[in-house]
Amino acid sequence: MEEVDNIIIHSLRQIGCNIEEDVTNLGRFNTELVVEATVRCLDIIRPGLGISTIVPANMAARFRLGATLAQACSELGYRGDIGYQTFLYSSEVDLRRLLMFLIEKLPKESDKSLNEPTSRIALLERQISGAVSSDLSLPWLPHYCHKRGVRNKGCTDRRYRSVDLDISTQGHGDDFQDYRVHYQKPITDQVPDDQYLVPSLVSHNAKLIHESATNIIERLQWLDMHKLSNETVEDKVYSKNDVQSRFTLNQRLQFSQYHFVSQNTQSEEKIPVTQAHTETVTSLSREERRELKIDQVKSECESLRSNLDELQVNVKQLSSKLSQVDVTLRNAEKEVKDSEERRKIKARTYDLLPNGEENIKKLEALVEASANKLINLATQWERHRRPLVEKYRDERAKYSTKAQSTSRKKLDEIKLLREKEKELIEESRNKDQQCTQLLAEIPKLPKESNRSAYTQRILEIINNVRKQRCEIDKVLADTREIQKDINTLTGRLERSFTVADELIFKDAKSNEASRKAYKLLATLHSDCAELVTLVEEIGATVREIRDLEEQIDSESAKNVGANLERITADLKQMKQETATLMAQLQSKNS
Amino acid sequence: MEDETELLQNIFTKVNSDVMNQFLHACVDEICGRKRVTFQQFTNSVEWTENEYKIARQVIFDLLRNPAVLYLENERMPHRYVETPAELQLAIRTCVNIRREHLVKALLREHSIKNGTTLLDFDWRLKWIMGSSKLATLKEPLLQLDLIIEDSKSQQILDLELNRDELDMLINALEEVGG
Repeated sequence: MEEVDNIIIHSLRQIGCNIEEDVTNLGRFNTELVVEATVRCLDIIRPGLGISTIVPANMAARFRLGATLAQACSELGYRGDIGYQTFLYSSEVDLRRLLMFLIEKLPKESDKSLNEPTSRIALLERQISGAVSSDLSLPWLPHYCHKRGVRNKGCTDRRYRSVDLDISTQGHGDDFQDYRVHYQKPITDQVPDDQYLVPSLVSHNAKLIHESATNIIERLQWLDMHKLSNETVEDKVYSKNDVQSRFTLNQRLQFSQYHFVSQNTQSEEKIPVTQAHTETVTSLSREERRELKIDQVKSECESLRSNLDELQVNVKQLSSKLSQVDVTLRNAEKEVKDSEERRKIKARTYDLLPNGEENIKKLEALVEASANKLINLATQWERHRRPLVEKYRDERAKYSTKAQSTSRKKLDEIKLLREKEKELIEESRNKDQQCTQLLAEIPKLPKESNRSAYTQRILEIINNVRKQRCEIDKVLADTREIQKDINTLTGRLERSFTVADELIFKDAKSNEASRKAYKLLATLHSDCAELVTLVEEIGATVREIRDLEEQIDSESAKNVGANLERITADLKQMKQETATLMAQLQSKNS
Repeated sequence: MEDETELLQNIFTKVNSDVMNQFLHACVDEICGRKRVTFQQFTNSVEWTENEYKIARQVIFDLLRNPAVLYLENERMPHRYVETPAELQLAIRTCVNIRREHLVKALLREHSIKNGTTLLDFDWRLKWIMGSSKLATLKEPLLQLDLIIEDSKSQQILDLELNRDELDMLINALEEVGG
């Protein structure tokens, strides 16, 4: 049985049970381990049962867990006797049968995943990948909706809202002092809400650092004018500007002043000329100067651009003219060459003109000589050529017949070789692939060194079983023979008894002694029959005794005593729990 | 006209100068966007009815929100100011003198909001981006900028995400505009 236990424990470890090293047989499994092993097996066989691997402390919950496990096992097709007691008060034999059944039921396809090491690191990696994939499946949220998680540590979910704080240090005099002593509120009272305090301080600080000082009267002037103009002129001046900020405010101030001063002066406003006005006038003149400059530069730009255009047109015209002139020049050069050659010929003819006839004769002689030479050369050429051509033709005819046959053979061979090569290359490639595959599979394979030992043992067991079978067959044949013997003997006995009975019965009528003998025979026969039945009964009782002994063994193997103790302890606990629950109920009711 | 002047006289003579100053500064605080002035603040120190308090508040608000008052020049003061009692005039003058900066700021802001969308403040968070859905390793700083803007209808947050170049561009543009 130890080997079976080893196999069971090994496969339980593979599916992730936390079995300690010193547990070597099923007898040492405690309740927690039994429940964990069963739950893990069930989880793999039928995922989604959702049973916890931890045994609860509450007795009632324990019984419920045991009952659900038993039901799941019987639903899977376990035929043996199973109930909550199988898990809670386990006997070794039952447990072995159950676990063997469950391990056989484990799906074979998932062998790969089972072979993977289920160490803590692998589990952690799986958790990480799970978390990442779940994060990726989440929809996008703006930053202020994220409240949990490492990334958002140190961020507040408060909105950034600020008000202008009054922490002014400007101004001297009794009035200011009075104000600061009596009426200025502390900054905690200046904000409408606690949430405003820190943002307001931050903003105030930033403003103090980056503020550019502007004249207060200037700003007032602008505001005043703008209000007046809003009342008189209906249309909004800045409706085009969508975003106005405190950065743009200063800029606008300068530009708008120009606008409104001009408007106001046109409509003869009542506003008297003040110091502020003179400031605006200076800014006005600056603006004007700038604009004048801009106009000047623009006009200059325009004139320059027109100049540039004209010049470009000129350049184009000139370049086209240049190409035309080039063409004419080339033509003229050609003409010059032609005319020069003609002139040379003419000059020669003029040289020859004085002795015309002689020269003509000379020329004719020359022409004739050259013609003769040509004919000579042609005949010579013919003489040389003919044999060579014939030779060439012969050779060609010879070689063509020879070479073609051999070359064709060679070509065929080459083709065959090519095909073979291709096949071989493919084969080698396939083999390489197989090799790499197998190499990759090697580390995945479970490194079980005792595999051969197992097979040897299995073979031995099979041999043993075969021997035992032979012996059993022999015994069976023996018993059959004995049965036959018994049957024949009883038949013979019966027959000899009847023969003896008849014989003695015949004699008994006349002979007194034989009558006695007949009586004795009858009693002997009945006594013997009784003896036989007694022997048979003894055999039956012996068999019964053997059965009972086996039963006793099996019962004692179930360590009933210990289980009984545990059951009684659990019963006590349950009673206590029910008592406390009753007490609670009563206290609630009262 | 006469009645109103008298009424004002009546209302403001009930107040001593200390409480008057408190009231004025509270009004300035409210104009600057801080806590509201409530009747309960002054019920104990002044014998005003709620109606009188409302009138007084309205008058002070009208005066303080009028840019003409902020010049602190007698020729420019509106009629309302001239009609008020002399002590109140003095109190208003000192108050405005002290708080002129705040009032101008508040009025400018109010005016700007009325005429268009105005940037009030901004908030930012700097984040280090490890990767995106397209790039496995990005490793770039990213600024989340909240522009808090307000127009005549509502206040809202404009949320921008900018990398370094975009932020530079934004800052340059704003600086150019700000001169």
